Amino acid sequence: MAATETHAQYVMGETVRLLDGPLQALLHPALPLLVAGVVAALAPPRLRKALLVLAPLWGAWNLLGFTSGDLVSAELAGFELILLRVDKLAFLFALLFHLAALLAGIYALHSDDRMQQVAGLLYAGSAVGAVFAGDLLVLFFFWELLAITSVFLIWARRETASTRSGLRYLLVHIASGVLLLIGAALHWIEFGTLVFERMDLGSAASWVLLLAIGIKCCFPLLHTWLVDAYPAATELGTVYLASFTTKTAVYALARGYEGCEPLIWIGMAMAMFPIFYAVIENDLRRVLGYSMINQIGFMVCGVGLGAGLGVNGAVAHAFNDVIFKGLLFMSMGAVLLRTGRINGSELGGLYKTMPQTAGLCMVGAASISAFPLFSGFVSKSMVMTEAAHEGYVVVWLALLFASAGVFHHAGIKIPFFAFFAHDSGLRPKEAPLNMRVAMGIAALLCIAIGCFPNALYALLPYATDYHPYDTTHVVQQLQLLFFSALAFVTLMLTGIYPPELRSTNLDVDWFARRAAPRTLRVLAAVGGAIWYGVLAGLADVLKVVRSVVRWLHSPAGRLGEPWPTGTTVFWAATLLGLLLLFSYLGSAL
Amino acid sequence: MSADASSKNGDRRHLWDDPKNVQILIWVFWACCAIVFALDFAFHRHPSFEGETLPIEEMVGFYSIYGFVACVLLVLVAKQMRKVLMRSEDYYGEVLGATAGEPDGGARDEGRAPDGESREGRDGGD
Repeated sequence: MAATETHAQYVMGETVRLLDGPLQALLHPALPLLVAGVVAALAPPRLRKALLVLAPLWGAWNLLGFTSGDLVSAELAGFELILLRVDKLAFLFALLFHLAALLAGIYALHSDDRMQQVAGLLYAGSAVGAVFAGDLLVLFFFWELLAITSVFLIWARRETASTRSGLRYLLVHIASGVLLLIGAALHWIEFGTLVFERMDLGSAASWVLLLAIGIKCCFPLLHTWLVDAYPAATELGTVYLASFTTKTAVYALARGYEGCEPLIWIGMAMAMFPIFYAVIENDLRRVLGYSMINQIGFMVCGVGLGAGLGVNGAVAHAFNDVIFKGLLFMSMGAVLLRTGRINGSELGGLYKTMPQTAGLCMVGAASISAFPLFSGFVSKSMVMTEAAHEGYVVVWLALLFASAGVFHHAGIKIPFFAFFAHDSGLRPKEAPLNMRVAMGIAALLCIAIGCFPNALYALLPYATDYHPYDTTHVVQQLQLLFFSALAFVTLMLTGIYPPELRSTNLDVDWFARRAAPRTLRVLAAVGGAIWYGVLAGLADVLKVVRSVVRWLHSPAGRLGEPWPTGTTVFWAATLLGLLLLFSYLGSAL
Repeated sequence: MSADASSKNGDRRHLWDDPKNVQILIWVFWACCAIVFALDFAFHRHPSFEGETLPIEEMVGFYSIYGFVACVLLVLVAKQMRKVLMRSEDYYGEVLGATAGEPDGGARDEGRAPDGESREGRDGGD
């Protein structure tokens, strides 16, 4: 019972219930997905497909048996590890992950690719494990598992470019894991505990852990792995990838850094800079990647704004983002599957033969743009309201700019260039039925949450009486969005809007991918030149020594020629004489 | 919605093939913008900020103008960014979809199921 009392403080305002009695029949919430993933590795195709859909349902059913306050700990080599800590925050994310796994599972049904099916299930299970991890070591375990399982979704594309992209992705995420482990060790040294709970920025551990989480969360300058790797994955892989990694990071941020002011500014930067890239990017899934960083910016900002509406808004927006961003990635995945293309410059006019996909994509676009009655509206406005309430004028103006921008590039650009714009002449088939079903469910959820947000609000970590639908909010948002669209229409009609071009746009990964290798090459060349110069110098010195030795010792050399006996006797006598002299002097002293 | 591969470009006219329909859509859109703008005269919006923090927000048309200006700025700045940041597609020596993006778009999905089979075969080999 002592353990119960110790842990009571770690669980948000709930009473602690030790797992015993009927609860013991429940599995750890991550297990259904992880076990299904392992079974799928050996199962025949039909069973694998069944597992993709049934495992998330089984997992969700298992999950519903837990309530806030449940705690499972185990002892390992003197450490008390908290394998499971249930509270409203973790529960909401776990529920979301099961929903995302279910949608992706349905979306995957047309494919037989074992690698993706297994990786998808294990990846979803790792995310669930991570949000229930009560301490930093268990979190580290699932953190790395997330990286290792998800990279196969990129490699499953089986192209050279995606293989290399996957390697870079893995490198970044393993580094994030290593930082997490270092942070955990520092935390142990500084505080004598590994329990993962709210920290104040200041201790070394808190900074290192923030960096580890920040990498996964796409903090500015640490963000390029996302826009590098997500477009490189398969059509299905990106749907999985978009749901788990960054949202686990948002969870970790909400758990550890609620109310840390720097996050407000970091979040603001994240919401701002990607939208510029999104406008000029040609690969439509990379556009969605940039818009994803923009959306995470709102969440990071919300976490920084702190307990109450801020964190509630961040978490609610994470929930909605998984669904609407998933929907957008699913629609672009369908386009990629059916046409083999994803560049805006090569697409257009697909509404003619893919009208359902086009319609569903537009629902996702309306949701991410936060149109009233769609899901983005009910969560994004919470963060905006809180920023205004706390008096952050600059942040508020920036977020408003970003809201207009996201409508511009994700709300309009994605559906417009894929399905409308100029006719590309492509007449692909409509997306497979399973894909349309998955997109349909996601679209329904977007609208349902947008119309009846209270169901989502009830799940949020803090009690809320927030009402998104007052006249002011709705009017403001409609004005902002319609006039953003007006800007798009005007720029298109006047021909100022930049055309979609096949290109690579440099981002900060240029420093790692181009500048660093080049610098190293230059350094290697200079270092090499110096090294060889030194070697050549040494060789010259040796040559001189050798020629001197030759000169002395060669048969014709000074020391090589036969000496007359008299000279030899003279030198031997001189040496003996000197020896005698020294020994005499030595004994005299 | 039959996607008849043989009817490549000579297929039936679709909704937005007719410039008249596009024109109607644009007019409807402009009307919507006008109505949404005019809502500022009909309602009093409560300010987001308390007190005198940001008085400009209460100005008529603030959100409309802000949204328009923001997006125009966004596009103009992004266009300038291209001058600095844009490189050829194979700048890093690796192009996505280089092996997949064959010109016959329809052919790829036909080959999908067997493709999946062959992947399956490859997986089964280990």
